[in-house]
Amino acid sequence: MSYPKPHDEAARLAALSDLSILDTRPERPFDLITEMARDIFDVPMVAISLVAEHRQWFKSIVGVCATETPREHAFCNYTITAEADFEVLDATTDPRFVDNPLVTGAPHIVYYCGVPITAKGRRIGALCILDRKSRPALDEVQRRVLNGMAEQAGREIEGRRVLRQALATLATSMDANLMQ
Amino acid sequence: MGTVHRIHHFAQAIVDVEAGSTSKLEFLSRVDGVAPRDLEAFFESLSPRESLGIVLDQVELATRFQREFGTPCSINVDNKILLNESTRAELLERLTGNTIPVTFEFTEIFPMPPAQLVNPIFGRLRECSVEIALDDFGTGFNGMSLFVDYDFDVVKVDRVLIADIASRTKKAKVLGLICDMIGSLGKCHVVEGLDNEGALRVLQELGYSVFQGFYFHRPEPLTEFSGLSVDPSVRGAA
Repeated sequence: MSYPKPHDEAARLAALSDLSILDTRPERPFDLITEMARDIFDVPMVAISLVAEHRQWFKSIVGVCATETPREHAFCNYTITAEADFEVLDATTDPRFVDNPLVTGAPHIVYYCGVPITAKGRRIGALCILDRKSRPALDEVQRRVLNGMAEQAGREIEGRRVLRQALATLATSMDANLMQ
Repeated sequence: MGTVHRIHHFAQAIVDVEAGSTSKLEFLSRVDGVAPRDLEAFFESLSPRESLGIVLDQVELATRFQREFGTPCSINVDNKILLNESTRAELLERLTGNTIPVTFEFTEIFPMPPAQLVNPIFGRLRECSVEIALDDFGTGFNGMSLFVDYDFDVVKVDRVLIADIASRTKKAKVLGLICDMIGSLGKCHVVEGLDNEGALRVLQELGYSVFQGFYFHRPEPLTEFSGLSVDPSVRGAA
């Protein structure tokens, strides 16, 4: 199954690796974002998907019991290469997705809207809302809200990285007896 | 064939002063014929399979202890077990289906495989009711990358960071900041090496609440601590 790749793929993957977030445990700030998105948009499924070289891995996901999928199945491949938000109103009639295993099988995605999550200046993944039935396109206000939540997710990923670095640096400085 | 050593298991309480109770017991090992100062070198000299044997023995003891007394236990796990593909796989296989809470402590003193390899293993260990702790936090330069790149649930603040804390106000302020940062990252803490009341008072004011050290408890042989029948492990040193 073919999918588009960003022009800055190597740098994007390097940024994702440097953030050390793949395969980490669930964390409340990210779960809050997906839970709020589910309630605000009234959708059954929401994911914070990070697009790695061969897979998409979910930092947080509600409504689906999965931790990752093969990258070739990821709708988010289109989101991280799109100019703006990427929305599919009915995947069962869209030639790009009609044969996608996530459409033909569980979780039976019909509607998808994703906005990129940017960290370290690269599109490392997407915040996406999903439904098992077709839905009308989001309006402008809804798009702003979804984009804001994706921005928050990106800032959280960067912030936690900085906090870990600062904490490790502080502790190491103390060990070196710099703190008299 | 190398020398055969008998390993004796000890336990030291980890105390949550807010809850007013022992939150965990850390298992410690003593080895016949090996001085305490040489223990680190002794365990470093073991093969990955010998290290795995000790960990699996202690997991079994932790399971018995938890069932009998309801206190979870914390075990030191040598990083070399994760570096070796065979022992890594066996550790995961032996723990599959485990529902007894246990903590694995990894130190930042020795090399660890890349985070891309280790973080998924940590994830699988968590599915087996294993909590992941970073031991000796704040010692050595390696600690910086280990803490930043690897996904730990618990940070054990090393004793070197709390030395003379009662008389060093600037150091105390930084330790308070460290406590806040650990909490902001959603991680738990344990302060190691607490040996006096003055330090306890200062650290409590800074926000710390979970401690390990001689002030509360000196390590005791597990047999005396629990009454459990524990046969010493026998290992051949390399």
